[in-house]
Amino acid sequence: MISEAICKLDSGNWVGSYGGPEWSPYAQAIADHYAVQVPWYLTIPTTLTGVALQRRTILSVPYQHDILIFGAHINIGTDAAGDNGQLVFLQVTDLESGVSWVTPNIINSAPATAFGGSRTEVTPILKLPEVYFLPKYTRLKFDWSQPTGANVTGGSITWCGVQLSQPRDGKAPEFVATPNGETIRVGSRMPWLSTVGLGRRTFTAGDLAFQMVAGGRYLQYTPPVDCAVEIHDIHCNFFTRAGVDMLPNNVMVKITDAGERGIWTPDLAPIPSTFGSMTQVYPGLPFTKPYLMKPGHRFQLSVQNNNAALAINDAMVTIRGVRLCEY
Amino acid sequence: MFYFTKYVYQILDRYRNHLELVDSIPIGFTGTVSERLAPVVTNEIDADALYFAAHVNFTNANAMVRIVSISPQYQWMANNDATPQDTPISAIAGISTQAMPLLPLIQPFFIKKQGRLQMSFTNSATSPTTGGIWTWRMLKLVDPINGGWDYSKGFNL
Repeated sequence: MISEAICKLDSGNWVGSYGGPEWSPYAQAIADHYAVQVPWYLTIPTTLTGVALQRRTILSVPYQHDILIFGAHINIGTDAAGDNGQLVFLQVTDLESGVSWVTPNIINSAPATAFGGSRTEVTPILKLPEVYFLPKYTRLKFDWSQPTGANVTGGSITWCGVQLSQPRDGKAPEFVATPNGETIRVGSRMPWLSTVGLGRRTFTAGDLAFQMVAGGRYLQYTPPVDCAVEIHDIHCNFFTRAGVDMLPNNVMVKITDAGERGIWTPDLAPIPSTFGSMTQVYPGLPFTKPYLMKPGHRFQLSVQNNNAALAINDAMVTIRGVRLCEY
Repeated sequence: MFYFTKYVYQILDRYRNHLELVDSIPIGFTGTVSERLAPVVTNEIDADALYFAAHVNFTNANAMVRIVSISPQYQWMANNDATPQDTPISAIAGISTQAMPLLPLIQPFFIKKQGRLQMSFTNSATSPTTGGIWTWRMLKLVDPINGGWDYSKGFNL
C-alpha cells in the first residue's frame, strides 16, 4: 500500500542495502518510544569445526533491554571452504513466537550471504528488509548447516542494531503508527527469506546437491506463503563459485508470481538484472518498489543456463522480504 | 551516507554549533598472531561529541575488536558467551580500499566532554597486521543550550 498523500510506502519505505543506515518508518516509530538509543552489536560464532555436513545450533542470551536489529555482517570461510559463506546456511528462529525467518523448504535455511554483507566486500553490512524487534528477555536461535557438503571452520555473523532503553510508560510499545495513520503491532513485521536451489536436485549419503548443467532449463517454486509478505529484494550465491566467475550474464531467469501469472518478466532476463550477489553493491538486488505477495501465492522461477560448457553447482536464490502477519 | 534520526536531531538541537572532528588512534599491532593488545582509548575532547562513523587503514577480516564506552559506561558488544567472541573490525569500520571507507553507525553515539571510548583489539590468528590506525568521524557539539544534552534527559517527542 502506498499513501498518496505523502507518496511513501506505509511501512516498508526503504529498499536496498548500500549507503547509509536509513531507518524505516516502522523502526523510527518504535524508537520514538525510548529515551536512550545506543549502538549494539552481537557476534554469533558458527562453531563449525571443518567437518562436512556438520550442523550447529547457537542460542543468543537474553538481554535486559529491547533491541532493534538492522542488518548483519559475516566473516565466514574461504574460497575453498564454504565459498566465503555462500555455501554455509543459516536459519534464525524467534524462540518467543517460534517463527523462523527462512521458509521451510528443501534447504530450510538461507546462505549466510543472504543475511549479512561479507567482510571486505563492497557492502560489509547487509540490511534486513525490515528491522527486527527483539524484546528484552527473549532469545534467538541460530541453526548453522552445510547441507551441500561445505567444511568450514570457525567464522561468525555480527548482528548490528540499536539498544533501546528507558521506554515511555516503563514498557515497550504494543502498537506503533505507520505513515498512513494505521497502527500495527510491534513485532508483527518479521524478516522473511525463502531459498530455492536451482537445477536438478540429487541427494547422496546426506549430501544435498543442485546442478544446472550447461544448456539446461529448469522450473522451480518457492513454498506458498502462509500470510501476506512484502518482497523487497533477491539474493543469489553463484556470481562466483570458489572465486571463479560463473559467467552470470549467461544465466537467464523469468520470475512470476504463480498466483498472478500476468505480471513480471515477459521473457528471460540475465540474472545480474534481477539477482544481487555477495560481491555486488546490492547483495540483495532491490525491486523498484516492494511487492506485496498474497497468502497462498508462490514464486515461479524459470531458469536457463546458457553457458556452453559450464555447469553451476549448488546455486541458490533467496527472496527476501517482510512477513506481515501476527502470531 | 549519514542518516540523522529524530534522536540525533534532538541532540543536535541542544547545541548552537556542530564542528567536524576526526580522531585517529594508533592500534599498535606488532604483527604477532592472535595478539591481544592493551586497550587503546580515544582522545579526550573538551566538548560533548556525537560519534558517527569509523575507518581503519588496513584490510584484515580476522582482526577483532571490542568497544566499551568509559563514560557513560556501556558495552557495545552484547556477546557474553563463556568463550568471548569479539567482533570483526570490518563489521564496524570501513576499510581504505572499500567503496565505503567510512562505515556509519546505525545510531550515532553520544559522549559527554572528557568521555572516552575504549577499544580492545585482537590480531588475526593466521595473517596478522602490523601497525594499524583506527579513525572516528564525529561532530563536536559546542555552545550548549541549557547545558546541552545528556542521557538523563533522553529523547522526548
